[in-house]
Amino acid sequence: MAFLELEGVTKRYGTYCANDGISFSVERGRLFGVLGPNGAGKTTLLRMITRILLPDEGTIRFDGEPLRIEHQQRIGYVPEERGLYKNLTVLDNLRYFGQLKGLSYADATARTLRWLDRMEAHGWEKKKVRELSKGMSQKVQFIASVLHDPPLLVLDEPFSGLDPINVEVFLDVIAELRAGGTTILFSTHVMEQVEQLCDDIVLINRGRIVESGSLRQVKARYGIRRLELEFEGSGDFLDRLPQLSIVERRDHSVAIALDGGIEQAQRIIAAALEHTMLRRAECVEPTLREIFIETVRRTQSEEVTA
Amino acid sequence: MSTAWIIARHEFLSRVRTKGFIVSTLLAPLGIVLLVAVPILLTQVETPIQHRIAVLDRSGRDIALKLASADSSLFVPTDEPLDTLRARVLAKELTGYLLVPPDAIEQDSVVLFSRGGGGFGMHEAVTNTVREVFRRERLLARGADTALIRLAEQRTKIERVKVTAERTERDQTALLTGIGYFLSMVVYMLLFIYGGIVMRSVLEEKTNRIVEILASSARPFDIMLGKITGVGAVGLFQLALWLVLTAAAFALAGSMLVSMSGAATQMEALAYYRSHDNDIATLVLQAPSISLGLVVAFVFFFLTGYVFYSTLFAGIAAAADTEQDIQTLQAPVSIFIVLPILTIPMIMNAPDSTLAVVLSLVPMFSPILMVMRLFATEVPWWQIAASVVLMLGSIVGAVWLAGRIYRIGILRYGQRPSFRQLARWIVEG
Repeated sequence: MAFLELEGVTKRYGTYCANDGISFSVERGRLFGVLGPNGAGKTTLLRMITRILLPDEGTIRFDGEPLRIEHQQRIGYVPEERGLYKNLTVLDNLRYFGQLKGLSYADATARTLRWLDRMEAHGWEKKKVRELSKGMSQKVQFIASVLHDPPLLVLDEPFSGLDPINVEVFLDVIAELRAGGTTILFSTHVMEQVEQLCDDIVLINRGRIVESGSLRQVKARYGIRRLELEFEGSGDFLDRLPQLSIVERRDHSVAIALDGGIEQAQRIIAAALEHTMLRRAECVEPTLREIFIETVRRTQSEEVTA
Repeated sequence: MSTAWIIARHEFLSRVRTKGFIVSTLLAPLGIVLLVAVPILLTQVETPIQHRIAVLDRSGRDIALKLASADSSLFVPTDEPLDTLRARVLAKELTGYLLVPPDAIEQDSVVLFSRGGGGFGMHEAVTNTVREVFRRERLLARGADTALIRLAEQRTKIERVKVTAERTERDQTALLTGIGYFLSMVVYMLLFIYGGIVMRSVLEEKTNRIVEILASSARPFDIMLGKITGVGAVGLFQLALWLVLTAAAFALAGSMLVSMSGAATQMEALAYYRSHDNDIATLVLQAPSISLGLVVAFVFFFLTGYVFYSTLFAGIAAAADTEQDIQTLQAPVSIFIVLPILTIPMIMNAPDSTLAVVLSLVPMFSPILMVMRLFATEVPWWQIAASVVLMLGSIVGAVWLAGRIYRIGILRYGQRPSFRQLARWIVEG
């Protein structure tokens, strides 16, 4: 049984539909990516999953039960916009948020200190939040979401604005949490991170799911789309081949979009072998970025024609 | 432990530890005591400016001597020529000189020459003494004897006694009305101060996006409730501290007054100050008896007023994005705190008038006007009961209203909503 299940989840603001009949499920222990361009409705969706907002229609099930307010104690959430009390110390902030998640005062204190160590933030507890740099307060914000060991962690654009060193720290901790069985759901529009991290994805655009499944399934669905060649010698042979849609051509390399499937690839490779010294030939799966852009454009033009 | 309780506790603890709280808690009673003590101290230590009025008597009736014997510190008989007197006045040796013309008694008039100024005190003293002496002279001229004159000059004492069911007691209406006025102003200020704290704190959480973290751990309604409870507890705590500190300060001031007046006991000091018409000192030495019921009523109306207005302020802050938004949105609420203040003089004069009764029953006004009336007069029990019911009812309404705006407002950014949009949030919930 899925750990988190959404069925027909819809949220409207007046006449504007932020989420329209969203259905998907997240298996326990998976890293799940919610992708979409700006304004696609990712944040609204995440707020419904964390029960900050209630859907107008549809159901969300958490660990087999309809999502209730009590489930908030088992969910950790890092919102897109970071929020901490600037005039309070790091410890006062984290202890308060920990207590709100059901921890005792002593427990929240102990866990805060432990997490600060783990996030390479030892000794920050007495600092006021206003003294922290942006990266530092992002760490504190992250700790606030994991202090109570939630089985579900929801992160809204977790890496935006982080420097590469901090991204590494975050990735390590996320990997560690995942190894410990935490289910992690995060939204992003940075596709490289998704390729690197995610087990499963949904791609939403204008409040609707336009693509979903495991990363591998999604990529397989788009098939092999492109042939890349590197060769020595003249690329003139390419001009003699019929109807090539060339994506990018240089003196000694070319990328060709495949319309004719694998047979077309074979014909091109045969020609290359014949006329050049072929150094590399690769049938490339589309990157998630390409799938993303293509899908978003397609759904938008469909909407226009419809 | 419920999340609302955790939020309330956090609000309370993080606020009472701030410098601002400690300073204002200590300074306010000090301010009140200074306000009362400084005028008393001034009358004690003051060495009044010595005014001297020379009296040039041409009436031949010894008026100059009689004036000097009535107030020897002020009047000096003289027979110097007018030019000399004039010069002495200009040289500031004399405050002025009084010319008593030959037909002064018949004409019933004298002339006071001075440089002008000199203050009310001097003029009053001259006027009173001159009139007194002249009255006596006129009576003597008509053949009245001194015993009769003394009889006519006797002042009648008016003791004010209030009739209650149980017993008769000294009527403290004036004093209690004064205290009621002071306390209703206290409620007025506290409504703005603590309502303002709630409003700014909701706005801070919204603009710093903290509220989203809170909303991922608690219902919006519980967040609002927790905040209002926590800040309200701070207000009550501060009020209690003020009460204790002020009482202690007044006790101290009272014992200082006793020693200053040279009296052995408080009662003697009281008699001394009464005879000197020193109302403030009398107030310090003999605090009026305020029943427990009045204290309970004051706390009730302060608290319900606070809850009513601070929830509305919380809703306003949730709908706002900036301080400027708040300024615009709060006006229709704040006006209801200010309006009763304008009616207070009328209510002090006629606390039992129909208008006073009606106004004090309007829930938005009750926290200020009921407090005023409860001290100024005997409010019938049914009016108190009606006010309590109306107050509690409007709190339910305010919480419902503000709760709906709050829930939607805290996650909305950008354009400040119009009042029409706010109405839609309330209706659609």
